[in-house]
Amino acid sequence: MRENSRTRTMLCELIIVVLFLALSSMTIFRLFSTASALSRESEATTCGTLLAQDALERLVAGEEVADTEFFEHNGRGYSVSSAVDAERSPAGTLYRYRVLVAVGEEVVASVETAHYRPERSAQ
Amino acid sequence: MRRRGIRLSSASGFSVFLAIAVFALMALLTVVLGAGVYRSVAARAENNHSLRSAITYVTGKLRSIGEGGEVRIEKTEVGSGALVLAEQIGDEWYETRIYAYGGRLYEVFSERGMVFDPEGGQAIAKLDDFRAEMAGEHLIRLQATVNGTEIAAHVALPE
Repeated sequence: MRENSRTRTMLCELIIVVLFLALSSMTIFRLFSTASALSRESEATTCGTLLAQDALERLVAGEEVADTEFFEHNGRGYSVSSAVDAERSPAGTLYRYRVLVAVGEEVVASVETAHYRPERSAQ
Repeated sequence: MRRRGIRLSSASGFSVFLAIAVFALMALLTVVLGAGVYRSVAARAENNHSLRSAITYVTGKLRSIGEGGEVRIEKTEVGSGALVLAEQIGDEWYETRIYAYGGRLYEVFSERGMVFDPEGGQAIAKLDDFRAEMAGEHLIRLQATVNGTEIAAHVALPE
C-alpha cells in the first residue's frame, strides 16, 4: 500500500515535470520560429536594399530601366518599381528617382535620390 | 489481492516509463529543432553579411576614386573579373586590385607595374566568387557569390 502511494507520488511529479517541459518547449519553439522569421525578414531587407540600390545606380547612369522588374533570390520573388520625375530648367534638369522593392504586397525597401544634369549632358 | 497489487505496480511502472520517455523525446526534439533553426539562422546571417559587406566595400572604393582616377577590369591568373582602381599620388601611379581568391575577396594596393601576387592581398570578406564587368560607359556590374547565393549590383561611375 505504502509502495503504491510512493509510486503514485513519483508519477504525479513526473507528469508535472513533463507538463513544465512542454510549456518550456512551447516557449522555446516560439522563440525559434520568431528568430527564423526575423532572419528571413532580414535577408529580404538586405536583398531588397541591394536591388533598390542597383536600380538607382542604373537610373543615375542613364540606363533604361523598366517601370517594374522582377527578380528571384533564394526562392523569393522581388518586384522592383522605379519612378522618375524630371524638373527642367534652362540650366539643366533635376531628376528625382524613387525605387520601391516589394515581396508580394509587402514593401521591403524604399529609396529615393536626385541627380542634376547640366544642360550640356541633359537628355 | 496479491495479483491486483502486482498489476497495479506494473501499470505504474509503465506509466513512469512513459512519462520519462515523453520527457526524453521532448527534450531531444527541442535540442534537434533548436540546432536546426540556429544553423539556418547563422548561415543566412553569414551569407547576408558577406554579400552586403563585399558589395558595399567595393561600391565605396569605386566612389572614392577621385578625378583623374582610372577604373578598369583586368584578367588575372585568378580570374577574369578583377577590378583595378588606379590613382596618381605625386608623380607615381598606384593601383588597387580587388579580386576573389581561395574563397575570399582580396584587395591589394601596389605601385603600377609591380608583379601581381594574389596571396599578397588583404582579405576583406568570405566569398566564393567575385566578378566585375563594364555594363555601360559609366556603369560597372559587380557580381558576388556566397555559398551558392549570387547577387549582382551596378555602380554608376562619375561622368
